[in-house]
Amino acid sequence: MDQQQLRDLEAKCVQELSPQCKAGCPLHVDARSLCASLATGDFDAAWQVLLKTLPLPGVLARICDGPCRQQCLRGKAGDPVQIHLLERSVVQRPRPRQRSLAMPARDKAVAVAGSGLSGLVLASDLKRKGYTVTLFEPGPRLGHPLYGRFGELLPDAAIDEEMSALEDAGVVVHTGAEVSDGAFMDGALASFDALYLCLDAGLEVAWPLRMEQGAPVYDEMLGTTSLSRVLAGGDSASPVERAAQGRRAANTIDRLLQGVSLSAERSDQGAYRSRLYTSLAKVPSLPAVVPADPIEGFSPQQAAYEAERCLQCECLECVKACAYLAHYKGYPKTYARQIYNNLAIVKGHRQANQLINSCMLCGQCSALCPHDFPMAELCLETRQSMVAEGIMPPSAFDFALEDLRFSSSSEFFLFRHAPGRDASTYLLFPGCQLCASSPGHVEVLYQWLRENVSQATGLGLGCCGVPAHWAGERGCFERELDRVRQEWERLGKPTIITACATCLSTFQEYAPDVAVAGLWNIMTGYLSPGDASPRGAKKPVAVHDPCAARHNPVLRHSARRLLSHTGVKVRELELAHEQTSCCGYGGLMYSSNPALAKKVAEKRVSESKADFVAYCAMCRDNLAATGKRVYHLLDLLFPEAAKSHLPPGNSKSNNSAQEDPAARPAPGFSQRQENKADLRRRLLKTLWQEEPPPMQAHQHLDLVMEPGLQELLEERRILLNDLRRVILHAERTGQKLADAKTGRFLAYHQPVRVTYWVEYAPEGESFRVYNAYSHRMTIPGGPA
Amino acid sequence: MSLLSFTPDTDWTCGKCGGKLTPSPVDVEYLGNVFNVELLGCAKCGLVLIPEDLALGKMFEVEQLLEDK
Repeated sequence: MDQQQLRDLEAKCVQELSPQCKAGCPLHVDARSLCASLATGDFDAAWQVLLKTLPLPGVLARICDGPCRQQCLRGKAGDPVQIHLLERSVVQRPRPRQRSLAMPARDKAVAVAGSGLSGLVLASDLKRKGYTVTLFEPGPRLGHPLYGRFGELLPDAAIDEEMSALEDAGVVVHTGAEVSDGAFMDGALASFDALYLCLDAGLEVAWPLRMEQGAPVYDEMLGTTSLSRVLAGGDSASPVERAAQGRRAANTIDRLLQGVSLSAERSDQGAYRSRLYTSLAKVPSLPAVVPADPIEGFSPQQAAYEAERCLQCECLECVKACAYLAHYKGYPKTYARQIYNNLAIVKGHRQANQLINSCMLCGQCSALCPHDFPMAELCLETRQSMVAEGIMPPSAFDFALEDLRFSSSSEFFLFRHAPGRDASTYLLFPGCQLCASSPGHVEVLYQWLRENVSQATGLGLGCCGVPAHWAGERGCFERELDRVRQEWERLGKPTIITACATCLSTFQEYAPDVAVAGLWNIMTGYLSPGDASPRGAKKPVAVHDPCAARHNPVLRHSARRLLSHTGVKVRELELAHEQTSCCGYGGLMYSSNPALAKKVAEKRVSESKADFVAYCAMCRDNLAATGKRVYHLLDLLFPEAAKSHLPPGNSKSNNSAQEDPAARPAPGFSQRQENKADLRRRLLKTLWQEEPPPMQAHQHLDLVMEPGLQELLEERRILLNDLRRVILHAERTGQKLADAKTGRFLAYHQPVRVTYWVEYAPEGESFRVYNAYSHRMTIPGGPA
Repeated sequence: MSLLSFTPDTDWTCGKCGGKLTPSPVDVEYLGNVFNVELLGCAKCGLVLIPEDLALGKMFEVEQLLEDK
């Protein structure tokens, strides 16, 4: 990513853009901050907001005509916030002490003809910038055109105060000045570096400027006239626009006298429409607060009520929905910058690694973003760069990649024609996670497909390789996908039917040559209403769409159709279909940031009190792991298969799972691997009448432990097979520590990258495990 | 660099030769970085002891630090 790509990316995120009120104000007063201060009754802070941008606040705040109101989004849910009245309520209170930070004096001088609003603002702005400013007012006093013009709204005392402030600041004032003839202009241009003609001072001038209909022609945005050092402005009907014309002309004069471009980078000057998006979806309508007295304006309490109606416009559509984006306390624009900086670091601490590696890559943010900010693509491409540069932290995805290696190993990988067949029209590819979560469903499903769709339906057990893709391991991903492709070709290129939305989208996107169909789409063609009867799902269920179905409306629709066939009542979550939330598995978040993945799942299940139904095995288990009641769609379509999900020997759980599959606990990582391996062995035996290959030596070790320890091992990402390998190694080599008092052993072993330590003792034919932990540092010379 | 020492009192002995564990300097390595630390180990058989609090504490911290380097 280069600087330009970063800027293009940043520009897609609108969170930092001005709210409509500020953009719509010709002076860009920060009305959002003003309202935030007033809502808490902090008038001093509100004053400071005005002082930052509003010139002559004692005058302008009283007479501002509030063009911002037309832009205020509150107007679409009630009445616009009366920002102009709020400003007035502020300046009616004492002005806080202000530290004036005048710029160093410059040796350039500016003359101003007339002291209407635009001329006064221009004089004030240029004085602040350090110029010598001399104001020529034909009338008897400074600000003459303002006195009496706005009636009770603008008392003389308020004008007096601002005029005194101007003079105190050092603006030189000549009243009773003759400015109308060309001689004045010539004299001024001889003595001053620039001259401003204040058109709102009621002057009639006979200057040699290009005129139209009796008025000088000038550029609305820049204030330039037909003479290079003469500027003009201030003939708008709107007081705040007149003030803004003076401010813009002051900017032009500043640029003119510094010898820089008069027009560069000024597109946001003047009122404009902001690209900031703010949702009004949950905003109740509220009417305007009516001031007690039209001249006095709001009481402090009324001002607070009115200011509270401000929506405090911001976007954050993605952050509101995504626990991951919220977790890092920023938004995509700030994240893009952090990721860019992270990549740019040559030596030092890469602080954004976790940010990059925790994204679920689910694309919800892009679906919600008004400008499709591609957070997933950004994180994925960055991961790929990190892998290519050799700076990917190994601990982020190792665990998930080990699981992928298991799925690709002879423990699980299996591609066959149906028993007794030598050709396949279809190939059931359940996806590794359905096999890990509910192997019983895979068996039932395979039978159902052969009986109802085609006897020539082969079976493919394996992984589409997406974990490698998510980990940024391009080479590994291609190899895994290619391996499946080769098996598919070997079986005669049957149409793959997959129960996993992620496998489906992975094949569609990265192996478009492979014919693939979603299981739910196939099933809708064969099942009719009443063909399946749900057990235990008498109450309505909320549908959770997997993130991989975000761009697959047909699949989402098919899943709902099948649900309706079961007779169960379906509720839609607010974030459903293309806006669905990830369960916390996507992007391998469960591997790189387990604590956050848990939060993501918890946030999702809190969105409805109803039981959930998922049609992705991983979603089902991740959501169920929070304690939420979650069905898999297959639980409702094939309720009789639920009993075979659980490890054997736990008949009580088996019965309850059969009765209530939504309460089925999510199998742990060890159980998931064992489920996959057992499924392969069982299918070989029952369908193909083959004796499965003998188990590896360590797999014969029987382990016993307290349930609490099993949970701890899951948290520590230590599998039972890891323990078995350590114990087998220790028992074979004698390399172990011993404690004579307790009779326990402590052994360590590093099968691949991680070193595992196990504290254990023999117990009959089994081994009792007391503790286990791991580290990644290696001990060269230690037992390998 | 001074030698970091992790030699707590322990009841573990070498399961192979039955010998007492004694402090000895050991090189540990991660991502190409080698650290010399003092660990308890069996001088005869070469087995070392990395206690749980060291593996999940200081060692983990250093691993994370090196991964983000």
